[in-house]
Formats: sequence, structure tokens, C-alpha cells
Amino acid sequence: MPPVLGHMIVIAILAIIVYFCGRNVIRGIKHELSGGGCTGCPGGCAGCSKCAKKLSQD
Amino acid sequence: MDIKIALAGNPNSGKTTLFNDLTGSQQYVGNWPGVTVEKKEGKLKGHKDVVIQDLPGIYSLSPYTLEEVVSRTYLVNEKPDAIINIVDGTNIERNLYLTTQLLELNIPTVIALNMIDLVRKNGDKVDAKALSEKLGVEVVELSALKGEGSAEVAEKAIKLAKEKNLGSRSAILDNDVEGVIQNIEAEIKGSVDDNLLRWNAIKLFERDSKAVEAINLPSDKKQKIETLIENCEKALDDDSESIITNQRYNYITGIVKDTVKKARAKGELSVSDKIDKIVTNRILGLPIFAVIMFLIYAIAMGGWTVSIGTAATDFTNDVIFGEWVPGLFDVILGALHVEEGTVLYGLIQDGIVAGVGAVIGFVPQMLVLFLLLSILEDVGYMSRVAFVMDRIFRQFGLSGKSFIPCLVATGCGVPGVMASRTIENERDRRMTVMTTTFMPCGAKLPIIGLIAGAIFGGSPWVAASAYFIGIASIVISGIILKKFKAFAGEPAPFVMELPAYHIPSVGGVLRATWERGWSFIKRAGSVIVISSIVIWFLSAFGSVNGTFGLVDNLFEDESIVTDEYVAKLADRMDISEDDVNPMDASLLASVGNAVSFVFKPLGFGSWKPTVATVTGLVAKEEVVGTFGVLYNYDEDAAGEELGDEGEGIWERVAADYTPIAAFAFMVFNLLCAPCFAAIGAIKREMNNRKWTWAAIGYMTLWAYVLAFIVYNVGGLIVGEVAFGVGSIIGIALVIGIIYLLVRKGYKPDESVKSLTAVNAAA
Repeated sequence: MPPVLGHMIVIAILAIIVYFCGRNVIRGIKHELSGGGCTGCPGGCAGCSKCAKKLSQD
Repeated sequence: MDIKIALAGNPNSGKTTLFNDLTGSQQYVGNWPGVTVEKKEGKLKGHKDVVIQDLPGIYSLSPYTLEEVVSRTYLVNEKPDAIINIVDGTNIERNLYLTTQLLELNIPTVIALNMIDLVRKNGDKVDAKALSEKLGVEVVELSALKGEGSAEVAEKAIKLAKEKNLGSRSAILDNDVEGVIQNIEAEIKGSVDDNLLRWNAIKLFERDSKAVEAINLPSDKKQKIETLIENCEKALDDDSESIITNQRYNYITGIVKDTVKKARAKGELSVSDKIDKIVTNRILGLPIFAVIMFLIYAIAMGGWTVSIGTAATDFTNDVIFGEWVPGLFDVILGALHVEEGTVLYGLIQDGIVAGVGAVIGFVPQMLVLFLLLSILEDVGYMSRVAFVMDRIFRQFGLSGKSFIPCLVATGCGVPGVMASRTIENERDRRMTVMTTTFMPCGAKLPIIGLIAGAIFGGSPWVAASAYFIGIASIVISGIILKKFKAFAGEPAPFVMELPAYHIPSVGGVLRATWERGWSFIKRAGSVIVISSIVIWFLSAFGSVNGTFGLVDNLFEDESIVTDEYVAKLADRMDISEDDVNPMDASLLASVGNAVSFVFKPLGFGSWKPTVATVTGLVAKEEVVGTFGVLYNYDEDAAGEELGDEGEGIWERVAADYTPIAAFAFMVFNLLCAPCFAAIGAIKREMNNRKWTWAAIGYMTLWAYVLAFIVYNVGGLIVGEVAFGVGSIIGIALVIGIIYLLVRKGYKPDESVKSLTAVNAAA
């Protein structure tokens, strides 16, 4: 495999990770600062899975 | 159309356990009252058209706290098609008080007699058939924890909802009072929903302010009703609310006498009672709690042979993220021709792998800690701790109710802040919101693990001290704040039933532990990845002697890095020339160094901890993630790379801080402004911008003051810091805190009722 192709694969994977994680983080911060973080969480962080689901639907 | 079934019952009667069983959900179940503060809904397993609503626990339909309003509003205004009233079989008499009120709502109701396994184990007998006949509604024996009777109770509720079957309700009130209630019913007929006629009439008789406000009767009718109530009160020589309460209890006592047979003689102590005599003992209660928490932190995060959490974390840090993962990435990157020394290689290995690995490395310690805490919760011990703490809190004018949110906050600060809703007094509630996040939540554990492990050689005392510093900060803040006008007043009464001790459910404990750990891993997988990338870029690029580029590469060029430049950089960074490394010339170092003066008086005023502290505002896990990236550099002098022969990031961290400066760093990061999620929750619960900022400001100020005292006064005591201006200010701050603790403070006029949280929210 030529080095350029290898570099392009790595850059593409990193770009995908940055895009999805970045989007998730920005949405998360907005959600959290608006007081919506862990809304409905009954305690002990168990509600976080619920929050994550909600975030993915937003 | 969907059938809506509400689960209603007293706090800690097992509603959420039944909800999980009926819907297949995995909502958090805590063995103390007040775990559920918002209603939750889920579909009944196998019935797509049946919605189950889990409501916060209530003792009556007269709400005093915010979460009780949620239940009452739902039951009265949204009217479910049926109610499953969960009654704790071990405590029938008290639980039936709510039942008598629910039956007045004219909604089909089935009683789920929960904890029947415990009833049988105690040797008690409940005649469910006779109970059903006397109450006029169906009664189903249930063990929600074991899943016995859950399906039957749900089927019965669906059947009743479809048939709109109200059963045959028996008379609860005496004839005299019944007559008055019927007269009130006649007066309000047409003004309220016919189904709620009786409930409204009783509420008006009790002078329930919310009901009076909602019905809006003309003044002549209001006057007529008031006369009816006054006449009844004169005749029975009691106030109207007490009349209804007494008559309900008379009715319940009659029912219980005929249907419940207790095996134990009156006054005889159960096993739970005997254990409570020791663990809630006036003298022994607190030391027992301190020893238990110390042992838990020692096992999870200490350096003992039995400290399984530390052993697993060491393995994760040294082997998994020290050798295996970097090795795997070496192979992958090598195959893709990404060579060491390139930007891509550095970004992946030194940025993402090091940053995420640093945080994930602490997951084993966290899981062990949460496992042990979950066992304590499930056994029922933590409820006793709240009781023990109430006794101490009350001596200082605080309420034990404030301790329940603290218990919840050991998992996550957000639900901890939300749990403050169980406090009816608005001043106490605000104070609790301001101080709850002092408790070390899951995200702060890596900071504790890092300082206790890397700097103090796995000292269990340092790890456990984080927990007690949190509690002490809450108590001291409470005492100080209570002396100010905004918080002054008698503490809210704290009445809490202590659940019987029981063997913890393995599934429940493991689930609670895993969910806490998993949410942490998920955050590490998003926030930490992004922040590691940003921090790596900012720390890898910079201007070296006027030339911009990758600082690592620029430092290899001796024509750029002159002796004069190194001396200048060392002077700017306030370090020795030998300690200068390429990262000190980075963009992040320049920004961090410009702000680091803020933390200089706390002993950790270099750019790395400054950057770590600031990133911790987004999420506390990032403090350690940032260290992971910033201390992951090649050690030129030793000629070693990270991970070789067990060499890790943490040894470098240890070399950079004195023990007292590291402890001050831990104290500041544990107590300062919480993460964005907790700030958002505070904003929501305060419902006021000024109070939100006051809370954040207070936490940060308190953290700064305490860290200042730790470094300057603590350092003076242990001989790490010489006597100077810092010591004088530190001693003055200690005197100031003592003064704030002992001063008289504001005394409110107790004849004026304090605002309740319910009224404040209205």
C-alpha cells in the first residue's frame, strides 16, 4: 500500500471520529447547560443511558 | 387508545422495582425514600397499548415537597385509567393512609401488597381476601423484587381499567363528618368534575389551599362551606385536617386489627431493630460510618493487598494502556505507513490513546467503589447513615434531608442536585443545591485515584479523605450559610422510615454498578476524545524562538533552540533549565502560563494543572485526561519512552508536585464549580440566574479558600512551605471560617412561616 493511501485512510477515520464525537459533545454541552442533562434520572446516574438515547433522537 | 396505569404508593414501597419488572426498564432503585423525583413511563411488557407510570413516592395527597406535587398533579389532573397502589406489606397501617385517599379519586384501583416474602419471613400473616373485602378493592400479594405476582397485578389493573370498575368502596368517615362532606359536595356540584366531587369536598373541608384555589367558588358558597367546617370543628373540638386524619386512622386500625396478625409481640425487637441499635447508636453511629467508608475507599482505591480496585487500575494503566493498546496502534499505524514523529502518529498515540487511556485506566477503581457503595445502599445501611447524619446536622441547624441528595451525588452530581426536591423548605433546598456537588462523584474519582495513587503511594487515607472533605464542606458551608438571612430558619423536619435490612439483589447491585461505569466510559469516548485531540494540537504546536511548527521537531534543531532561548523559556515558565521540554513552548503552555498566576497561591500554579483544572469545568474526567496528554512526552534525558519498563505518565506527574501541592490540587478540583451538566441542573433547580451564579461562585470560592489553607497552613505544618505572607493569609482565613461558624447570625421571626419549595415554585 502506498504511504499516501495509508495516511488518507487514517485521516478519513479521524475525520469521522471528530465529526461524530464533536457533534455529540456540542449537543451534549448545549443539553447539559440548559439543565436537560440527566433529566428524569432517578439517581445514581442510571438515567444517563436514557439521556444518551434522548440526545441521539434530538 | 392506550391504557394508562399509575403506580402510586409510599416512598420506598417498591414502585420502581415493580415498574422495572413490568416494563423491562432498568431504572435506578435505591433503598431509601425519595429516589424517584420525576414521573417515568414505560410500556407494559407484552402489551403495547398499556403505559405504566412510575410516580414519586407520597405519604398522602397533600403535597409538601416538589416531587409530591408531581404525583398529586398526575393522579388528580391527568387521571390514569387505573391505579396500582403499592402497599408495603411489612408496614400496612401507615401505607393504607394513602390508600384511603386514592380510593376517593374514583379511579379503578388494585392494591399490590408488596414485600409479601418479607411478611412471611417475619412470620406475620395478612389475610388478603379479608383486606380486599373491607377496602372494597382487589388485593394481590406481590414480591416485586422476586417478580412474584407482578403479572397478576398488571392483568387485574388492565381488566379494571377496561371495565371502569371502581369496586364497592366502604365508608371511611363517621356519620357526623360524612354529613358535612355530603353538604359540601352539594355546594360544589357542577363546579368540579363529578368523579372528583368527593375528593374535592374532603380537600375543601381540610382547607387544602391548592384545592380552594383551583375550585374558585363564589364568596357566598365559600362562606357557607366555611360555616359548615367551623360547626363541625366546634362539635368535635379539633381542627378539620386533624378530624379527617384521625378518622382515616380509626378506619385503618379497624381493618388492620381484623386482617393482619403479627408474629412478634409488641415491643419485641426484630433483627433489623437490633442492628440499628448499634449502627444508629448516638455515640457509635458516626465512627462506624467513618470506618466503613474508610474501608470501602481503601479496598477500591488504597494501596493494600486487598485493594482490588487499585490492582486492576494499575494493570489497566501499566499493561493495557501502557503496552497493549499503544502496541496495537503501533502495528496498525505501521501497516498504514504512519511513522513515529509525524503529526498523525503523535495525534493518535500521544493525544487520543494517552488521553482516553488515562481516564479509562481508573474505571476498575470506580467500578469496585460503586459496587461496594451499591451493596451498602441495597442492604439498607445508607438510610441509617442519613438518620445518623440528621442527628449531627440538626445540632448545627441543618436538616438530615440535605444528606439524601449527598448520598445520590456520590454517583453523579446531577441527580444529586435533583434529589433536593425532597426538601420542602425553599431556603434549605437552595442551600442543598449549592453544596451537594461537593461530594466526590464518579467523574472526580480519577482525580482522587491519581493523587492518592501517584503522589501518596496508594494511601487509603488520602482516597477516603476526599469523601470526608466533601461531607465536611457540606456541614461547614451549611452552618455558615444558615447564619445569613437568605438561609436562616429552623431546619426542615426529617421523618424517614428505615427499611428492613435485606440481602442485596445481585442483579440490582451489578446493574447499578455497571450503569455508573458505562456512563463514565461513554463520556470518555466522546468528550475526552475531542478534548484530547484539541489539547494535543495546542500542546504539540507552538512558536519556538520565533519559528512556528511542531515543537518536538523544532526543539531538535539546535540553530533554533539556543541556550539563551532555553534560559528565557525557563524563566518565563518559572522552572529550571533542566526541566524545560518542548511542550513548554507550545500554544497551550503560553495560554496556561498566562492564567496560572491564579493558582500559584494554591501551590500548583504551573500551566499544566491550570489547563487541567479549566478543562475540568466541561467534565471532571477531563482533568486526568488532560494530564494524560500533557505528561505523555519522551523523556530525553533518560532516553525512555512512555510505558517502557512500567514507566508511566503518573511518575512524571508525581515528580512535578510536592505532596501538599498535589493535595491542594485535589481539594480544589473536588470542590470547585462542577461540570456543565451539574451547572445546568443547578440552573434548572434554582430557576433563577442570580442564584445559579451565587451557587457556582460560592463553590469556587470555598474550593479556593480551602485549597489555599491546605497548601499554606498545611504546608507550614508539614514543613513543605516556609512561613510567609501565604501562611499569614491562610491562618487569617482559618480564623475567618471559625468566626463565621461561631458567630450569632441572623435570627428570623419564627412566627412567620417560611416559604415552602411548593409555594416558591408556584
